[in-house]
Amino acid sequence: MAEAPAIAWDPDLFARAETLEWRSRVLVEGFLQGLHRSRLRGFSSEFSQYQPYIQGDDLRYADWRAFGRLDRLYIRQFEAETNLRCQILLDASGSMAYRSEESSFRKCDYAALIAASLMRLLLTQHDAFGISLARKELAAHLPPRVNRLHFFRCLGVLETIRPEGIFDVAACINALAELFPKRGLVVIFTDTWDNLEHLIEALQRLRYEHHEICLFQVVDPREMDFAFKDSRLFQDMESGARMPVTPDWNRTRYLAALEKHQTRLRQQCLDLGVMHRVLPTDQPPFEAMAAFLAERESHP
Amino acid sequence: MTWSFLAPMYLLGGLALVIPLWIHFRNRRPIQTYAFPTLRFLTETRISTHRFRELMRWLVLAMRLAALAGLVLAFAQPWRHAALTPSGEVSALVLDVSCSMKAGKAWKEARDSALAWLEQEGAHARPAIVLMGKSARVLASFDRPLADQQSALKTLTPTFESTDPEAALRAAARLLETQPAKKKKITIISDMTASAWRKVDWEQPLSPGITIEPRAVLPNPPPNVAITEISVPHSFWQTNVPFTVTATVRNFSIEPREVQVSCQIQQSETRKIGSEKVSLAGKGAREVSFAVAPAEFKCARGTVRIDPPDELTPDDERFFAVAPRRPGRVGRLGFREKNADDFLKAALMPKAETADNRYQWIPLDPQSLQSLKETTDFFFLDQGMPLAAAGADAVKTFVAEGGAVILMLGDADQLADWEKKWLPIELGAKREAGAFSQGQHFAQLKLSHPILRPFSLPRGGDLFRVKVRKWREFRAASAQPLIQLANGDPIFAVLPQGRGHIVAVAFPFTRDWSDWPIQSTFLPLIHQMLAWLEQKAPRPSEIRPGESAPDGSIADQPGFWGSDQTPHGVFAVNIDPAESDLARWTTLASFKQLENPEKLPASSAWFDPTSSVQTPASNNNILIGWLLLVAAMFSLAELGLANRTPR
Repeated sequence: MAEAPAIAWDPDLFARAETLEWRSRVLVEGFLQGLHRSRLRGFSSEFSQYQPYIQGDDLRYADWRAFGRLDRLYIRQFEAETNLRCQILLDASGSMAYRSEESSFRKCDYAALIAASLMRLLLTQHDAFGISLARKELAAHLPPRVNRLHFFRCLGVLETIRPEGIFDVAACINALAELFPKRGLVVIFTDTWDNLEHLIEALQRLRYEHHEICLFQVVDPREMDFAFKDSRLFQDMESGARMPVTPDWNRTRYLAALEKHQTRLRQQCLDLGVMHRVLPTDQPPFEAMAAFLAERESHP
Repeated sequence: MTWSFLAPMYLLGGLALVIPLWIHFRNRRPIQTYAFPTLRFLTETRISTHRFRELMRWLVLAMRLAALAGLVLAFAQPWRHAALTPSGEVSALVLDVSCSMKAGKAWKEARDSALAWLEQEGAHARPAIVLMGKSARVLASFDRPLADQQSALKTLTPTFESTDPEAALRAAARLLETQPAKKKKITIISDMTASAWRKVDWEQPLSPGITIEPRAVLPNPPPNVAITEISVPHSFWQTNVPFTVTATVRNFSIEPREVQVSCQIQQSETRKIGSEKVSLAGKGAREVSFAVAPAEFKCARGTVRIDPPDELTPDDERFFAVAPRRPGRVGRLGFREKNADDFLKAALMPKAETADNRYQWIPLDPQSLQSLKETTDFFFLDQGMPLAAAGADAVKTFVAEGGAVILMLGDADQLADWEKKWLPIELGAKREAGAFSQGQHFAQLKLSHPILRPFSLPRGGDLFRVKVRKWREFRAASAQPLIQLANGDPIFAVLPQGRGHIVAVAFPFTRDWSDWPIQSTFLPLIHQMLAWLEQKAPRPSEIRPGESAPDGSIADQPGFWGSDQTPHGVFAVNIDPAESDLARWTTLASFKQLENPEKLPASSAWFDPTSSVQTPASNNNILIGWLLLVAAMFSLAELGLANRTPR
């Protein structure tokens, strides 16, 4: 595996990301006026319900037509539109350092680029965003904020990624759930090669908290096709275990096992309402994100 | 049983085994470690192919080595031989199976002696038997069971071949060289005919440690009279021209003999030509001729035999096959004098354009002389004829290989450049006799020469009447002048050149130079000259039994044989006349010279067994075949495995 280059933030990528839009699919709880529907009542053009007048209510919202018909005073309430709170969880375990000869990015760098683009998009929408790096436990955590300085702090966190160790998905997501109590958007970048059961349980926990979850499965194309030629001693990048592998003979079984894993993951994500997207690192980052958002819009 | 090799030099090819080993270890890199995100999908396969791959690589290497080793061993010709005798000796028998062994009871004695020898030597180990004929043949190698050797000996009969003792001796010595024995012995059972053993190179000893024990059979050679040679000068070109058969009858005994010699021709039916009683003195010989009357035939098969034949067959009978020859092809190249062309054409083709002429007069194109040998037998050439390099080379090759050129000197003061480099002739001045009516006559004639022999008699014509008006002086050191003028200037000379001849004539055949073309001696002399040159042209030698026929087949006995390569499909095979001479080689002490190890040359390259030993189909060949088959199978297996082995 070649030495990974340092992340080079692409201003063009950020500029193009600003042209995109992210609308939350679930009711979120923000604290600023925003684009996203909130479970609270507030000020917007969307009518929500009638509420009997209580002394002190603003008479601007009294429904005088109803008063004329019913001789009772009702106050019209509208849905609140608030900003989105998004927490990005990025797997910084050893396996995310992989980059094959055919790919331009390490998996963690590719995930960082997508995450930065997403943060830039959210910043443009005045949505709050935070970043967490996950290994055996949360290695870094910045809670959601909405300001430019915070954006640069997040970029600084992404620049410091040193993929190593294992990814304890249960511990990290449970910790994140504690630190991110209000409903919002959780975006997870991982390769999902760790314990799938633990990952699913963690996703269930987040869904229980009414978070919208996007699971970006960052993979290297070589992981998907296993198109190796020479026999080698394969070493697990997280556990360090070694195994002699003859690709010609192992490819079929590898691909079958991989397909089985992917099928199960897709099915579980579908059951949980988790958006699952496979991001091969040979796909340009902006195109990957734009395609995801377009697909998301077309299948609400 | 131990093994050795007939061609051990090929074992050096075993060094090639290093190549697959080198390739194997060069490609045997330490396996590379490759960091991969997860092994969970690989672990699930629960298959580790690394060890299997290593096993396959070793198998492929083994296949390659086995294939190469099989090839090397096959080329080295493994030879399984007997274990050493208790005394550490091995023996080889050289048994004479040449035609002379048919004489009297020679073969019976030889076979009995060989069987006795086999029984004696076979008590300790299995000996080898080499047959001595036109070439050496291994009848039984050391690994052949004794019973097989005995049965092979019992069914053996002498051949019609001539004797080559040297080849058989060297082959037997070569066989013994393959045996790890301290003492090696060659026993020779032969009639020891002097004519054959005389040809042995006694100065070249055999390998060290080999002793020779000669055993002569037929102690008293029977009186033998044989037809040793037959000659049929068949220079006729038509089917109804008479010819003469001349047979040489030789008495090899010291007693005078009287035999009846007869000749017969076989065409559609057998026709007896004649019979003659011949008296022969002791060790004497006589030629007997039979004139065959004209008859229409395409190919006549004839036999001359001694009647009644004695026991020493088949040298009492010799065969010949005659067929009409095509007309001689006489070319002309560069004739400046048209008259010369006319005179020669009239002399060679007196019957104008009909096909009955003895010769054909063919103009040659100087630009296309490459196929000279196919278009002409001899040709007339004007002196000073310029030729291109290719044409000059063609002429030189034509003469060097037995062709003849009649060079007519004339007006040109110099030879052409190519002629100067080729001909050993020095040109002189052009001489004239004076007035046209005057001239010089031939003064010195070498009438003993075959060309001029017919002119020694009055009926042959008077060459002295020829008047020469002009001539070109020439001098050649190797020339044999046949006709000279009174002042000694050569007019007609013969120069041998390579295998062919050049006839130099001091003037062209025109009336300006001499009146010879209109003399009566002109035509017979030209014909006599061409007949002599034709006779001097190399002819294929007579075919002996065991030799290759024109079509490549081997004629193994005397008689008439058919061949597509001969003009009329038939050729005669006769035994070597030397086989009729049963005189003994009495200097048996000369065999000791072959045993002298001090004279062994440093290099053994003087003898190549593969060129002289004709190994019969034996276990050895079967083994070599198996080795080649194994090599091929291992090669195929290696290919298959190499393609299936994971990298």
